[in-house]
Amino acid sequence: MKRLQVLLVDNNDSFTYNIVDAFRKIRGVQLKVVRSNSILKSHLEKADRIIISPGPGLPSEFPVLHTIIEFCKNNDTPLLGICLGHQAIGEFFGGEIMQMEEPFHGRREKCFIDTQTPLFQGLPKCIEVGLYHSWKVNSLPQEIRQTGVSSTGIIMAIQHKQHEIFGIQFHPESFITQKGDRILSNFIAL
Amino acid sequence: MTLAEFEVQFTQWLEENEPFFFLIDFEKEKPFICKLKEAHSADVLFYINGVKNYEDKKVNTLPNLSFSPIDQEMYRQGFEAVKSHLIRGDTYLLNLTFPIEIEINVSLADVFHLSDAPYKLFFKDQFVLFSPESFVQIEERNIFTYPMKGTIDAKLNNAAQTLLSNQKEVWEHNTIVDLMRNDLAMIAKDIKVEKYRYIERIKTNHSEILQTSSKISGRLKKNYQKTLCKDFLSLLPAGSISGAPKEKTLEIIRAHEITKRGYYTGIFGIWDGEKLDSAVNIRFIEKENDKIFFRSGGGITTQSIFEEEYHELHQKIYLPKK
Repeated sequence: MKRLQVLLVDNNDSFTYNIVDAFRKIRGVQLKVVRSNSILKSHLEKADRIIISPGPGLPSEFPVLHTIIEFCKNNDTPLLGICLGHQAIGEFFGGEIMQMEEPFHGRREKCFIDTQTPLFQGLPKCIEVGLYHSWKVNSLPQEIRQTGVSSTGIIMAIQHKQHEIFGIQFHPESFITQKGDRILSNFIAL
Repeated sequence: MTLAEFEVQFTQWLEENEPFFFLIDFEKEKPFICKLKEAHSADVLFYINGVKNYEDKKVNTLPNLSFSPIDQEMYRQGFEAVKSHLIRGDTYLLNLTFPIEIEINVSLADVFHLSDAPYKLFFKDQFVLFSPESFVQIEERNIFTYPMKGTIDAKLNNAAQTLLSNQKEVWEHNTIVDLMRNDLAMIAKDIKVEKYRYIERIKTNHSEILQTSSKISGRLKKNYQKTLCKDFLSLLPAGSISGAPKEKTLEIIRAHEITKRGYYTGIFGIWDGEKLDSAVNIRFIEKENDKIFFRSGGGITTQSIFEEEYHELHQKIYLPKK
């Protein structure tokens, strides 16, 4: 059986290989890590799934993310954006991101999730998640739906209404997050 | 010696089963390697978890260390610049360090013999270090790392409980654990956090401090020796003395620290023919011209308070007691 080709777009992050290690436990997957500044169209075309990694700074500092999201939208390639990737998706579709008064780095918070969405299938309605962010998606456009919110009211997960495009503000690859591996395997099982 | 030459030598001795000593600076610009049996004649004395290459020497002088606190405004400049990067999300954790001029009444060699620590190194009368922090251990195909983050004065009431329940310390420690999991996952698989935030007690010449560490493990590939040097170098600089995300954080460190770090916050270790053990080069005293500097630092996060970090920087200046 042909293995599922997953492209992990790395925004110079230091948690990328935690995602890689999580995927080593998922069968039938071939994961390729490519730096966001080295992404070629051919990488996108070969991928069955694309993941945008976390990273420092703001989505606008990684302009290629725009191209990647557009590609996924036009070609129906399932996309998962984590943290910076989540914010990039929010912004791409017309949402706003906002700087937080107090950044959360290394914090564990409760997150309430919509377990009807494919990404969170089989998970409890409330999970503990690991957070590393100083920006948040603050407003959502019509075509995007909220699928998760933290106990402090911050948007934690979003999903496109027509496309398999998902964003999560928390870090499924963090050891602080409960059931993070399940979220990643749900994304593969779409 | 260039890094490329270092890599060739490291790999060759590994292959020939020749035990060796190695030392790498923070900038990876002046690596040093020699056969274990030749370290002593090269004026390199080491103590690594009980393995040593020297005879104990009794020093009769009672060691005394004194220093003036570093200029608050100089520290504040660096601290505030780092803070603004943290708030913007360019970094989640950054280890900011400074050299502090000290006066001691004993030689660097005496400091070496007087001090007690899991890892000690005296290097050619240029510097001496007595580090409590293990970096990486490798035995068979298992790799371990032990990031250390979180310090408290043991004299305080309820010190252990205060340290364990301190939110800022928890968040900072979580960041370093995720960072080190990532780093091990670059060269190994099946990464596990085996122990989370355990406490160790360190005796110093003026008091005792408590520190929290975690133990993380991974599984190396078969025949890992072939690429071990390159893989090992990819872990440097160590996460606990740089920060996360590492690349951007290193850029900020270079922009805001006043001097190169050199061997301080580099690593040193030995390969004994079967296993590798290494330490992070902290608790570090070096000679520069006629002056002696203690190099100290601490992790800065968005929660960091100037006065506390400034205090912690000085709290780490001590000689470990035997």
